[in-house]
Amino acid sequence: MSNLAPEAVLRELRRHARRARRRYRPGWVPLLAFGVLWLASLAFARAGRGGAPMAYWLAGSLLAYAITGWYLWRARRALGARVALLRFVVLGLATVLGIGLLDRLSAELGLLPIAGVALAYVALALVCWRSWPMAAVMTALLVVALLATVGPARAAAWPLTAAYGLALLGYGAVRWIRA
Amino acid sequence: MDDPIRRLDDLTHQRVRLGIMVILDGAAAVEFTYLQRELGLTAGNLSRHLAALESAGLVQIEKGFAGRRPRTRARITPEGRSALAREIEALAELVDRVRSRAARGPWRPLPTSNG
Repeated sequence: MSNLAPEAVLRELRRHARRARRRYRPGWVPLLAFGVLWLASLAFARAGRGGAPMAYWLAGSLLAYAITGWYLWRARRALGARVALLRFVVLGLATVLGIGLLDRLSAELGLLPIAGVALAYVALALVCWRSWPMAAVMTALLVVALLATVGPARAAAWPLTAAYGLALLGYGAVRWIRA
Repeated sequence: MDDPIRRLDDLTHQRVRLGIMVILDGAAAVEFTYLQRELGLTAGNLSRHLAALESAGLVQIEKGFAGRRPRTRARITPEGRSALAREIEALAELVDRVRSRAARGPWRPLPTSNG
């Protein structure tokens, strides 16, 4: 096998290295999962319902957490990736509970559900991934979500949601490609 | 002139072994079954390659249990990392050399004096 063309060997090695890195550093998984969740929420706006209900954010976040957790678990088992699974599970449960509580509070406080979801994402980035770039992305989401909840900007909530969903997907894709 | 072919190591310059080391280099401790699946090898074949790399001190094998099931993991050693870097460097140099020769055009024999 040692008579393989060096170029072919290098190409194959690069492919193996990239696949291992993508699995070992799975930061792109939550970005893509939550990006899809945000973009899918636009279906409610198009249906003329004025935005996704809390039940959507609750079930969707739970699903995105489950997908991410499953991927992290596999990365830890197969490649020894340093993943704080316990913290991830605890924070995931807290987020879901928090979103549930916000269902009652949001109407009284005049907040849109996305503000609560965004706050949970900031905590997720800081506590689970300890990633400053991801925390910055999530904080931007929180700012966008809070802006969208006040006054005239409220009408722009769904274009902002779309922009943010795309930003999450884009950032996830960049991390996936650059891994 | 230092020829990159002379720097290729017979132990590591093998497609499967290089594949194993590249995967190990990108992670902390890789499970045997992951390596087997990624490289499309039988358990026996992978074991032989890992044993060769381990005896040269390039990888470290850890045997343990996950619950009741036996689990084998491999990790690259600092010596393995250096050997991999040297091998990749030599391969890349070979590729560059072949490319630069190809850019100069096809090989032609020298004209003979009586022709």
